[in-house]
This record gives sequence, structure tokens and C-alpha cells, in this order.
Amino acid sequence: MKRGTTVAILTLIVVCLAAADQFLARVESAEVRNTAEHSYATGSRLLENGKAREAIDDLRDAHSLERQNDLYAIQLIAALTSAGRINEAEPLLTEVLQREPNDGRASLAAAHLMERKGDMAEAEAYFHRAIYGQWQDNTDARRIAVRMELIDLLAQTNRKQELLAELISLQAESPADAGIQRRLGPLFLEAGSPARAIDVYHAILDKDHQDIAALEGLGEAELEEGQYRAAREAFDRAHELDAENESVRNHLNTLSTVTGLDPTPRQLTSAEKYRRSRRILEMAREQYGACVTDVAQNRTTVAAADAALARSAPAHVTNEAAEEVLSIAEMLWHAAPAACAEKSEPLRLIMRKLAA
Amino acid sequence: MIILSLVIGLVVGLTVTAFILLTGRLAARMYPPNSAAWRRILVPTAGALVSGWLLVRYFPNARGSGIPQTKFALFIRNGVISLRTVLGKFACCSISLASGMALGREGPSVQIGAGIASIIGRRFGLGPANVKALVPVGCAAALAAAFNTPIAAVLFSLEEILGDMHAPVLGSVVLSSATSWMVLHLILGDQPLFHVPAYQLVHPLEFGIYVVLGVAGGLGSVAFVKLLLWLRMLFKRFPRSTLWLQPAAGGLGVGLMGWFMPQVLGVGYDYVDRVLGGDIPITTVAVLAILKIVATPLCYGSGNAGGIFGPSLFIGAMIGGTVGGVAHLLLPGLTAAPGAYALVGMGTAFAGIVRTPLTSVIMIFEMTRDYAIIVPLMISNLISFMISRQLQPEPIYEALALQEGVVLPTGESREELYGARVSEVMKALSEATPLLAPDSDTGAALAFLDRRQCNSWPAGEGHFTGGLISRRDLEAAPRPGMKVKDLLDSENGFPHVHADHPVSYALERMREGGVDVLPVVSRASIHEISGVIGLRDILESYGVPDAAFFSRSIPG
Repeated sequence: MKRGTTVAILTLIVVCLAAADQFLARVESAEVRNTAEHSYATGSRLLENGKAREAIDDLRDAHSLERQNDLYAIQLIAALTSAGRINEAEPLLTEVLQREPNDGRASLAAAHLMERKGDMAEAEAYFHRAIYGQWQDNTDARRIAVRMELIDLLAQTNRKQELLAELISLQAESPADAGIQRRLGPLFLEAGSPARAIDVYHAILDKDHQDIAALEGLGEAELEEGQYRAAREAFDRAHELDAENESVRNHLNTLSTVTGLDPTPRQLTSAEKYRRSRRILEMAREQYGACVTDVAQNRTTVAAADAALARSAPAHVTNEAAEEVLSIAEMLWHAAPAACAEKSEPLRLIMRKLAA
Repeated sequence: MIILSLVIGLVVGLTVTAFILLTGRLAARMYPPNSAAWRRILVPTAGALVSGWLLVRYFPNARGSGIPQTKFALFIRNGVISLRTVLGKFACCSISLASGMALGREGPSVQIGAGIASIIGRRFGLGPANVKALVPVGCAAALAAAFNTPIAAVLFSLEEILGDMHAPVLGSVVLSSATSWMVLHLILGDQPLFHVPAYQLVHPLEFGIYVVLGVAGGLGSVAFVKLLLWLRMLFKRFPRSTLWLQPAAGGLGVGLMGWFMPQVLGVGYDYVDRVLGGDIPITTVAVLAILKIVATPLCYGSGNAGGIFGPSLFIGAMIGGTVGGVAHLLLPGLTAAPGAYALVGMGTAFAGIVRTPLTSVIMIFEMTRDYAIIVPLMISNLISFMISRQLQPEPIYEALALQEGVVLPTGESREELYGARVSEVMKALSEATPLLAPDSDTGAALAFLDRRQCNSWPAGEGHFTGGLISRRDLEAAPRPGMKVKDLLDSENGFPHVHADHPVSYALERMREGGVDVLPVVSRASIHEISGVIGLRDILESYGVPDAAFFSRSIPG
């Protein structure tokens, strides 16, 4: 009887304790989760507002409460990276990547960290791992966003070939996305592929022929391609739609200068071609002089340019004489540092057309 | 016994899990991380007052850590721990830990577990020997649930509680530990107590740094133990009427520390976790190590309910984090992250403070499940253990028990508990075997020894002995006619044995003390004498003739 009572009491105690434990465990789990979520939200908000240093404490709280939550860990890595605390971010990142080597978010965090460290090759590799990695939601949109980020990085670092490759991939992945098409245009131009930019702008204008930005972009691309007539058509249409648009007006001015300098039209007389060639040489010499102070450099080319400019126009101007002047101008242009090209947009465009 | 072990594992697992969850949730409400500073002073002080009153009024046996009390129950009370003590421990420690006392929950859990095992055993009508055997079973179950390390729990029960790695209850201890651990996992899932970093040895030079960590851990452990014993002694000197108020001193002290550094409050495992993850700056980690070395002894010494098992891990993690942090700053390419050192540091301080080196190695190994950590861990632990043993010979739990007048067998002494026992050879006090009267003068005392044909005898009245008097003491008396009681050295103790000691141990004590008779005293108090054991009695038990003894041992 006594033993039976003991067993009954024990059973009752076990049941009560199990219920109490379950209740307490649920309470604890919920409280920990809520606290972590709150800290994560606060930290994320601070990080979005550019307050990475302030965000670290909150994100660290969230991470230490739920260490298995990769989202919290990755956000903490992002804050540490933004704050320049690479040494602290790296071990954490290694841990996450060991746990989830194919995670897109972790790879993206690694890409940012490598970018911050200045290791662009590694950064690019991690961007690619992020693009082809696993994402929990909105996979396509996230992959495109990561590729756009990589594209921006490549554009900033002026790596045109890699940039063009990424742009072609992006165009293939999202042919119908108007927002992306709009961004692709100028980026193709930046990557040195105006022909692809023209295609992109035509595609946009097919859907909305009154898109001023697309018309302006198309004009720029045609200008870059040396198709001045087509460029003028595009700029004129844009100007008709928005006469107050200063950017379009500036482009029209540039276009006028370029067309006034262009020595390539067939209908030009030899004298006019010579005059334009000489003007181009003058501009190239002026630009060279402004950029290069060391007179010892390219002495022969500079002397040839100066001699050509000192000569008066021959009585009977031939096409060959004009070509000779243009050749000297081109040599001088190529002799100058690349940064000089930025000084005169019309001269750059003319030289691009001559080189084509 | 098998079924009983499973039942104990189940009940203890559930109870300890409830205890952990309850204290954790209450603490989160009492002093939330970003609460006002005044709250961090008020809550521990108020909590200490409440628990202090409860301890004095209702649960006097629930004071302190729980491990010495469990050993006391095991070796002196035949494994009897009352329900009142278990309830008191649960309630008082919940209040104490929830209010931010810098104490641990594992020691109390061990006492609660042992108590539950003892109660279940008695309820099922088991005899004293079987009830006693259940105490380590409950301890292992409690520790497995409290610390999530079932193997270390088994080892701790055998190494520290029983002091016998070959105890016959091993099977039951393993069963209850495993059951309790499974209960914990069913309720809390597969969440480790600490999220430990992946351990790696970066460079062989790190072994040198682990040696430094062992030294730092050992010195830190000794500082902690000595301060704790000194403070406990200090508070014990205050009048008994202040007993209920004393814990408040600990509460106020830790509250003032918490005003500046909230991390020092409570068990602090959250911060251990952060140090392991390398989330806390090195200066904070170093300050926390120092503060905790002061805070825990203050809380414990003032009589609050709570353990030192958890704080020793906290201190170790902070010492390890500091050593690792400095090493990583100086040699970043050659050293692992500070978290790895914090992890090894936990074991190092545990080996230095609790003095169970095997348990500490297995415990950290269980946490990491990584073989690579074993060698650095053993290096640091061994150095810490040796330094601690050298500078503080008495292990902490034995020293604490001794302060209460209880002599607990140490691991070393228990190794000798084999062969014939003192109880089998001793002579119980009787009219034929009386104590030497303390008021006897030296002449009468010498005559007493002559009559007894020995050179030493305990002095006292009834079953109280004031010490052992020897012929040498009597002959060296400053003036003739002095009373025996004036010659007794009551301050420094006296040679003695306990009834459960082997006779070989009694012989050793006789040789050390230069005496041929020893008092046989209680483990609860060395002044409580039950009989005497003489060299002649021992020799007789070995069959050595009486004449041979006389011819050599009695002075002319």
C-alpha cells in the first residue's frame, strides 16, 4: 500500500514537473526569440541608417542569443565590415561559411568583406558564389541585385571586360525588366559597347517612344558610335519633348561641336577637311600641353605637331595633306595620358570615330 | 536498483530543468540587461534579505553550495537528506540566483538531486546502505541536467562526491545520468549550454601560451579559494543574531559591482558564451575575471545559497579570454582566437578550484566534442591543479566543511579506506577506557599514562575531547603541577582518526604524531570522541604478541 502510494505520488510529481518544464521552456524560447528579434531589428535599422558602429552592439546581442541564426550572424558581419572591424568579422564569417558554404547571403557578406579588404579578385569570386548560391526567398531578384552590385563594383574599378561580361549575363537573365534595361544602357556605354547600348535604348523606346531619358541615352550611344545624324535625331526628339532639359541641350551643343569638327563626311571639300584636321590638331596639341609638362616626352611627335601647325595652309589643299595632319593629331592624342581624354568630350568623340 | 536509477534520473532531470529554467526566467525579469542601475543594487540586496531570512527561519541546511552538504549527508548521515532541505534549497537558491547573486546553480542542483534520490530511496523502504548508495546516483543525474555533460556528471560523482572511481554504484550512476540528460534534451532540444567555437591549434607556440594560461588559472583559483575561505570565516565570527542579515552584505556588495558592471550579476553563462564567441572586449573580460573572483566569495562567504561550480567556469573563461586576447594581440598570426583560450580556461579554473582534474578535462571535451583540445586542456589543467594543490593544500569543499567543524574524507584519504577499519580495532569509551580528566595535574597525568602503558591519551569529559596529551607534553610542561587542560593545543587541532579509517592509516597518523594512542572522533566534529585506538590494539589485531610490544614501546 505504502509502495503503491509512493508510485502514485511520484507519477503525479513527474507529470506536474514535465508540464511545468514544458511551460517554462516555451516561455524561455519565446522570450529569447523576441529579445533577439528586437535587437536584430534595432541593429538592422541603425545599419541601414549608416550607423554601423552603433548597430554592432544590438546585432551582437541578437547573434549571441541565437547563434544558429545565420541571418543575425550575417547582419553582424555586415555591420562589423562597414565599421572596418574586419578582424572581428572574419572568424564569424568563416564559421557561417563552414556551416553553410552555399548560402548566398553568407557569400555576399564575404564579398563585401573582401571588397573592404581591397582583395578585388576574391570579392568578385564571392559575388559569383552569391549569385549562384542558395537564397531562401526571392531568389531571382536577389541574384539580380547581387549581380548589379558586382556590376557597380566593376564599373567603379574600370574593369571593362568583366563589366561587359556581367552586363551580357544580366541582360540574358532579365530581358523584360524595364528597370534593369534602363540601368543597362549607360552601363553598356561605360563598358565600351555603345552598339549594345543602342539596342537596349531602342528596346525601351519601342515600349515608350516618349521616354526622354532613353532618347538622351540613345543619343549618347549614337554619338559614341559616331552616328551623328542618328544622335541628333534622338537629341532633337528629346529636346522637343522637354525643351528645358539642360542635359539634352548640353549634348546638342557637344554634338554641334563634334559635327563641326568631323573630317570624315564624304561631301567635305579637301580645303574644309584640311581646315577641320588642323583644328583637331590644335585642340590635341592644346590638350597635350595642358596635361604633359615634361617637354622631353614624345619630343618628335610634339615637334611634328608644332611644325604642322606653324606651316600655313598650302595653296592647293589635297586630301593627303589633311590626312597627314590628322595622323599627327592622332599620334599626339595617343601619346597623352588616358586622363587627358576627359578634358575635351568633342575631341574624344572625334578621336574615337577616327580610330573606328 | 536499475529501475530506481531510471526513476531518479527522470525525476531529478525534470526538477533540475525546472530549477534552471525558473531561475533563468526570474533573473531576466528581476534585472533585465538594460534596466536602471538602482535596480541592480536593490534586487540583489532585497533577494539576499528574503533568502537570508528563509535560510535562518526555515531551511538552515540549505545554506551554501550544496556539494559539501551532500558529502556531509553521504558520509555522516548515511545519505539522509530531508524533503525540507530539498524544498529549501530549491526555493532559496531560486530567490538568490534570480536576484543576481554571483553564485552557481550546479552545486544546489547536486544537493537537490541527491536529496530527491535519498527521499525516493527511503520512501521505497531501502536500508541505510542502499539509501547512501543512491546519493551519487542523484548527484550525477542533477549534474547531467544542469550542465548538459552526462559523462562529466558521472565522473564528478565518482571523483568528487564518492572519491572512488571504482565504486560499485557506477552502473546506477551512468543510468541516472543518461536518463536525466535525455529528459533535458527532450525538453530543451539539442541546444548546448555554450556555443563553443571550432577549436584549432594554429601554431605549436600556443602550447607555451597554454602553460601561461595554466599558471594564470592556478593563481586565480588559489586567490578565489583563499578569499572565499577567509570571507566565510570572517562572517562566521559575527554574532549568530546577525545570521539572517549577513547575506544582505553579499547582495549589497555584488549590487554595487553590478552598478558599474552588470555582467557580474547572476550565473553569467550568457557572458561566458559571449567570451567564447569573442564578442566581449579584452579589457571588459579582464575586469570581469577580477570582479567575479571578489563577488562570488563575498556572496558565498556572507551565507547566501548558491554554488561555486558555475562561477569557477565563469572565472576560467574570463582568465582564458584575457590570456588569449593578449596573446592574439601580440601574435595574431600564431594564435587562435581568444574564444579557444576561454574554453580551455574554463577547465583550468575548474581544475584549480574544484580540484577534479579528470572531470574538468572530460567536461570541456564533452562540450567541444573535439579531440584537438585535449592536449592543451591537459597541459593547462595539470599546471593549474598543481599550483592550486601547492598553495592551497586543502580542497575547497573539504576546507569549507572543516570550517563547519566537519571532517570530510578527501580523495586522497579515501584511497586508503581499504583493509581493516579503526572501528573494528578501537576501544569504545567506557569505565574501563575513560578519558584523561582535563583538571588532572601533570603528575597525575603521567601516572595515568604509566597505568595505561602508553605515551599518549585523549583528555576530556563524557564524549567531548579537548585534544590529545602526550608524555612529551607533560614532561615539557613549563612548571610542575600544571593542569592538563592548560597544555592542550585547542587552536591547531590534534592527531586523530575516524572510525571508517583503515588501521594502516591510524598507524601512519601515529608515526606522524609520535604517539601510540589516537582518539577516534566523529567526522561531524573532531571534539566528539567515540573511543581510542592504540598501537597495541593494532598489533594485537595483526597477531603480534603483547610482550614484544611492551619490550619496545614503553619508556623506562
